[in-house]
Amino acid sequence: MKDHLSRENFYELVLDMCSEDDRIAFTSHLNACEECRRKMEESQEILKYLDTLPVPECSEKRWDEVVKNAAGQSAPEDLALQKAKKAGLSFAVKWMWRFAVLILVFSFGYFAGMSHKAAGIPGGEISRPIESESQPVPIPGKSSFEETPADQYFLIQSLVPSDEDATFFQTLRFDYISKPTIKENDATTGETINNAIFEAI
Amino acid sequence: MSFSDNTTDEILIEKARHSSEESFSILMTKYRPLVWGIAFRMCLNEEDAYDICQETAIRVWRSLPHYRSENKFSSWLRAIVSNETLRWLKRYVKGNEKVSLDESPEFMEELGSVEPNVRENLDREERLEIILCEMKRLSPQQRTALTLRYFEGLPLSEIAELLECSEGSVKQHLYRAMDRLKHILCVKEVR
Repeated sequence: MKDHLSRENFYELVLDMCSEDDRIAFTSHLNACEECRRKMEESQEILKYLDTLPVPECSEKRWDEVVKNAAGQSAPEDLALQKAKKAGLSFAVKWMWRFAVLILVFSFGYFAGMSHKAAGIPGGEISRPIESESQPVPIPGKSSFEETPADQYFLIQSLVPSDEDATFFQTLRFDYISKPTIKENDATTGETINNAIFEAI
Repeated sequence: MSFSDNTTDEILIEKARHSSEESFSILMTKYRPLVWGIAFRMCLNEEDAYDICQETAIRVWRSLPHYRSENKFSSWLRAIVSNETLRWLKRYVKGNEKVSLDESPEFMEELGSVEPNVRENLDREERLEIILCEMKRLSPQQRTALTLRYFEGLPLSEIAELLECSEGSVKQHLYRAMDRLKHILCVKEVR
């Protein structure tokens, strides 16, 4: 190797951080180069001083205290349990309040909407069904319109020759409609009774 | 470590896991030189080293349920004590933030004014004092890297994992640490 070794090369060598190929190359260079060999020794000297740093003996008594203090803490098994409980608690704390806030917001929104609607505040009308503003739509199973007694009377009067007959048939019709079985089950109760009146006539 | 040692460790660990203080004590006493060596070499103060050992012992006791037997106990323990010491060093440096002497121009000037032959004639004790002083001036990362690499012989990859940096960064920490120590030892520039 023509060039001298760099400081990094020396450090890599003394701290044993270089690859095997580099080590071979560096060593062969060191064997041939006096200057690099001297510098290498200087790097090694640093570590020699590190080796001379005195490390005091660890007192047995104090070590026992250290271990005793540590073992005096919660037992490993208890800790595992505590940790699990803590995890559960933290999950509850972390998520349950969000859930509660969500419910609170929805409840507030719902009741606010209801109160607006009840008070007739324009904003509350938005929630009103569209059907209420349009023509009534016949619902299957229900009578398509509500007949007043006057309507019934005029209808029957137009069908029968005299007013007495009209009164009689209206009473008859009223009795039929009053019957819960007919009223509830027959969607075309009015029509059926009208047909019956026709037949009677 | 022999097979029987590993087996003994496993038994002790298993017992300690089930809250056997005696087994824990035996286990920790067995690895006392390892824990003490790293703690002292990194903090360079006896009292602080005991504090670190205490923190380490507590951490080991609490973490035993998470220890996996496929890892060597000594490696696991070394990682814990290194972590604890590194944490301590960072706390210490944060609490004692000041301009590092060897980075201040005054110090460099003062050092430069000392004749080389005088510096080389410093006796062993003085040199030790200086190197101790200079070791304390190394950054936590530099001190950790140097201790683990040189005294513990840990591979760069493990040190990098511990310091949460790349292997290249670990090398840089080591180069800088050596450079700083070299200044104090009055070794001529190696370039």
